[in-house]
Amino acid sequence: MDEVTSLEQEQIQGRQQVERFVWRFDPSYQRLAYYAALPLILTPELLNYLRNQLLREVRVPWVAEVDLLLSDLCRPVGYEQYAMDSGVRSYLLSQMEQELGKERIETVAKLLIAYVR
Amino acid sequence: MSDFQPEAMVTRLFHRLRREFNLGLREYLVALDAVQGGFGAEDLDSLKMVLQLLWCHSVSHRNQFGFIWEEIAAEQPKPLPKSSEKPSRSEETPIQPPDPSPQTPAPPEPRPLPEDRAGLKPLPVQPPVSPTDLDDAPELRLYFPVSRRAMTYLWRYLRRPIADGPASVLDITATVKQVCRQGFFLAPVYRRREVNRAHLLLLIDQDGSMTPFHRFTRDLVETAQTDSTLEQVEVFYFHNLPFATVYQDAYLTVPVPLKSALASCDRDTSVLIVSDAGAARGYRRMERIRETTEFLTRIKQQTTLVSWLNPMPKDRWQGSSAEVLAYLVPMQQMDDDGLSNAIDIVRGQPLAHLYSES
Repeated sequence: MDEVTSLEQEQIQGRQQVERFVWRFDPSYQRLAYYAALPLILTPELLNYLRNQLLREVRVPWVAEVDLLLSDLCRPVGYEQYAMDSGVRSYLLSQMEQELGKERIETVAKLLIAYVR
Repeated sequence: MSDFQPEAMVTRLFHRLRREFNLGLREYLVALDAVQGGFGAEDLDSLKMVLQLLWCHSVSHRNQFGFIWEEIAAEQPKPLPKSSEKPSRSEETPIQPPDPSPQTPAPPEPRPLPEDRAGLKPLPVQPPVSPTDLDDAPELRLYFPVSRRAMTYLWRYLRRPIADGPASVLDITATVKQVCRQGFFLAPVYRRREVNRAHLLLLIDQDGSMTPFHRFTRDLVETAQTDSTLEQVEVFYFHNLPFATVYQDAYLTVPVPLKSALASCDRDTSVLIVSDAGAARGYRRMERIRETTEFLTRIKQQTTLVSWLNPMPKDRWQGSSAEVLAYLVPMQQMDDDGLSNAIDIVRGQPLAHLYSES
C-alpha cells in the first residue's frame, strides 16, 4: 500500500517537473520528452537521433535537445550520459501511451534497438 | 533440379541490389562462393536465407530484399513447385493430361507468373514499410545549425598569407621592369610563394552545460586541425573558466598552466573562445563575469584578434552572463553566419555586415 502511494507521489512529482519544463520552453518540447523517456540512458547523439528521426514534422527546435539534457528532468550519470528520474520517466511513458498509443512506443523501441546495433 | 540456377539468381539479385545495398564485387564473389560450396544451392528458400545473411545488414534491408526476391523468384521458370516436386518435373506432361478434362492444360503454369509480377511491380516503391526504412540512415543529418562541412569551408577564410615559401613564382612585372632598367634580359625575377601562416588558438569550454555541445566542439577542433590549411592550431580546454589552468585534452586530464598555454600567443594569433557563458542554463553569476573579464583582459594584452563563439542562440543570452560578456568581446552565436563572423574577426577584418553588434 505504501509502495503504491510512493509510486503515485513520484508520478505526481514527475508530472509537475514535466509541466514546469514545458511551460518554461515550448509545448513541442513535451513530445521530445516522451521519446527521450524510452531509453534508460540518454546521450546527446541519441537524443539528436530521436529528434531527427521522429520529430521532424513537429518541428522541435534543435536547442530543445540541450534544454532537455540540462533541465531537472535529466541528471548526468557518466561522460556524455544522462538518465531521467524514475517518476518523470514513468509519467512520460504513461502519457505517451495515452497520447500516441502502444504501437508508436513499440515502433520507437524498434528504432532504438536498430540504433544500438 | 536442372532449371534451378542459383548462380544466375545471385547475379540477377546482385544487379538489382548493388546500388541500394551498396554491394561490391567482394560481396558478389562471396555469395557465389557460398553457392558453389553448396550453401543455398538446394532450393530457393535456402538461397534466400544465405543471401539475406550475406547482404542484409539491417531490418529495412531485409524487408527490401524480401520484395525484390519475390519479384525475381517469380520470374524464375519454376519457382515454388520446383522445390517440392523436383522429381515430378519430368512427369509434367503425363500429369497434365489427366487435368485437361476441362481443356486448356498449359495455361495453369504461366498464369501465376504474370499475376505475381503484376502484383509485385508497384512494390519497388518502398515507403510501405514506414518504420523500418527510417533506420537506413543513422549517420546523416546536421546536428546543429552549422555543419561539419560548413566548418571546413569557413576555416579556409582564416588566412594570413606571408611570402615566406620558396622563390618559385615568376614575377612578370618585376622581370619587365628589370629588363627595361638594364636594357637586356638577363634572368627572370622570381618572388617567394605565399604561405598561410595563420596561428589559431582555440579555447574550448568542456563538460557541464557544454556537454550537449561536445559533438560540435569535436567537429570544430577536427576540422581546424585536419581539414583546414591553417599552419598552427593549438587547442586547450577548460571548464567554465580558463582561470589559471587549462587542459590539453578534452577529458580535462592533462593540465597546463594558462601562462604557458598563452606563451606562443603574439599579436597575430587568432584566439577563438567557445563557451556558452552561462546561456545554456540561463545563469548570470557576477563571479564568473568578473573572472572572465580578467581573463579577456589578459588575452587582449597579447592579441586583439579575439572572438567568442557561443553555441546557444542569441535570443537565449538575455539574462545570462553571456549578455554581459558580449559587451566585452565580440560574441557570435553558433551558425554559419556566426562562425563566418567570428573568423572574420579573428583574422583582423572588421565585420562588413550588421549581423552581430554586441
